[in-house]
Amino acid sequence: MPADVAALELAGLRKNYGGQTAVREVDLRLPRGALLTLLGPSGCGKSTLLRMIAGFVEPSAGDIRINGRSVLSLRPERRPTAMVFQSYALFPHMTVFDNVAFGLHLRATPRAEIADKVRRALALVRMDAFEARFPSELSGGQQQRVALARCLVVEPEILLLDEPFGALDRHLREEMQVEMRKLQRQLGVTMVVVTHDQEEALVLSDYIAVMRAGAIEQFAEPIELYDRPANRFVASFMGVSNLVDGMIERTGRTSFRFPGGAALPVDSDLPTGPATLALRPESLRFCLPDDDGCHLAGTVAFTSLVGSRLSCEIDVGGAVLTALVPRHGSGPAIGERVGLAIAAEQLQLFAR
Amino acid sequence: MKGGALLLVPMAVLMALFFGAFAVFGFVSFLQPASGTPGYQGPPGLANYVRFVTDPAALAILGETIVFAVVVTLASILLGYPLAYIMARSPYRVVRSLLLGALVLTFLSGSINRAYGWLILLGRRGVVNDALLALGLVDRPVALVYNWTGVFIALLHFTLPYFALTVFGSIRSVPMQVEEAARDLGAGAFTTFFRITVPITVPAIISGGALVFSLAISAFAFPLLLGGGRVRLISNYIYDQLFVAFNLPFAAASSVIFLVVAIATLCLFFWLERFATRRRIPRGGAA
Ligand SMILES: Nc1ncnc2c1ncn2[C@@H]1O[C@H](COP(=O)(O)OP(=O)(O)OP(=O)(O)O)[C@@H](O)[C@H]1O
Ligand SMILES: [Mg+2]
Repeated sequence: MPADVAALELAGLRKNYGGQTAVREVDLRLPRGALLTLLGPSGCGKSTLLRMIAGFVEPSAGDIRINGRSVLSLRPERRPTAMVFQSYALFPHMTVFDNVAFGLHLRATPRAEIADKVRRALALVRMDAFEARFPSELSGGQQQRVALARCLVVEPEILLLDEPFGALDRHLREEMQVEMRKLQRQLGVTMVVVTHDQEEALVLSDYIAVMRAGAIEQFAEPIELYDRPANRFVASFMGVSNLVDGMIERTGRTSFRFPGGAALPVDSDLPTGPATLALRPESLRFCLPDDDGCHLAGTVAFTSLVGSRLSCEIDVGGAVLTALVPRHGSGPAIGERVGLAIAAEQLQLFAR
Repeated sequence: MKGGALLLVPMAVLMALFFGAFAVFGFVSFLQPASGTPGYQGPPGLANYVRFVTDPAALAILGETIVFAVVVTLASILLGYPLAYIMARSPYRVVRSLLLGALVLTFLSGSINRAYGWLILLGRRGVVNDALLALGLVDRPVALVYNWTGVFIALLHFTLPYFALTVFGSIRSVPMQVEEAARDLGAGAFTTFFRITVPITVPAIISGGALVFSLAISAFAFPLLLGGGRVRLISNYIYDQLFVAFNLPFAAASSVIFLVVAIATLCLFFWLERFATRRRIPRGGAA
């Protein structure tokens, strides 16, 4: 197979429900062995997109190609995909072993080989001790591992997972995320994971597609998405909580003017006029208001403790910025006047 | 708990009355008919039971009743399950509501009404025979009533809603995702139906089957009205012992035997259900 054939390719994919569009014009290419997460708020069409790839939802327009071959005409049972459902959807009347063996029986695999493959798949997800149990006798995390083994054992070209960790508690979720990522690397299987949790997307992915109202807003590697969100929506979804609407001005040098009048020198080739400043809380530093390196001044409006760091809301006149700073001593007092220094390379501007 | 105990009193009285009546009836089965009158007399003995189990005609009726009830049960399962499945899973709302409406409607119409309805439909000059003749499929009317066929059709029509509605709920509660998971792993629609949906709903099939069996084995009106005297089930036999032969003790003994056989069969059903679900029931709240 030529190396440049994408494992998964979506071309102009669209789905309408009556008059409403659930997915619009999605184009995407995913290389073999990569893990893609579809990230977006509730109702943005993530599940619909995933279910179109699996064959449960018929697209209104566009094409889905797996290893270069269109799968649109194939029914779900003929597609080289396997899906882990959010509810796991294990067969309640079968043991763990039989659940995992189900797909192999359908492929007319010889009996001895089935037993061998099932045991190996269960060992991969560390569930080999549970093969005689029924799903009702397993915890949520264990059910999820079985659901994963049931898919892995049939060696799909693409593994699809719809909010696979949604039903797990935080601790188990984090553990499973890392485990899933290691397993994916080890097996080299191409995966598409749906999630609405940006941290989960960052932990898991080779690529992230941020979705909004049925369309992909940005398709990028996690680091790029984190550092260079393409627009205001992606920025806010990726945890950039300081978004200030102001103006870009050019009087000799370029600066961003806050609604309250303060001006911040910036380095941008956006045209003069309305723009949005995007800044992560952790890229703000405190300084003495009258120092040279200090860009802004304001008063502390609120502080709260976030683990080893302090979250401070600073009123800079016309806008409130949140700063997440290391905690020394008691930190700034409410009402105190502070200066803020901003690292220019951590600041982003979007045209409005 | 005092108030709770007090509430149990009317319940207990009611149960005592019900079972008391049965107990009296059961006791009578050990007595003898008083010759010439509908009364009965001592001394108690097993004569009535001996008579039943040594009477080939009585045993034949009991046997026929059981076989007939089994056949009606199987037919209800074969016909009712697909019906319930379509009702639960059809993508078309109209189909679902229409079928449900039809079933509920049959529920609401009384069995005597329906028996006469079937007479009109299935009689020698009935709609069905007229249609068959007009289409040239037969050249003289087919006997559809006053025989086993007529009783079977009417009884099946009567039991079908009970079965379909019992399994309908169970099919509905099988998550769509479980069926989708099977499709996703390579099972076609038929394989998914027979290896996933049907096995998961086996407990409901057995409960529904038990319900249909109880209804069929105790059928009285349909064989009476549509059997034309040729079809007699155990209920009709007991009725005849009471109101034709005026032999109350023998009727009572026949009833007891019938009851024992029916309960034994139902126990078999419930044992089957427990066997089928022995490990599927969630333990200690595990989801
Ligand atoms: N069968 C359907 N009929 C009509 N509209 C639907 C159907 N399925 C989904 N939709 C609509 O399509 C949109 C996208 O739904 P989808 O389930 O893909 O969202 P999602 O991103 O998975 O959301 P969530 O995170 O809540 O699961 C929603 O507005 C939803 O109401
Ligand atoms: Mg979803």
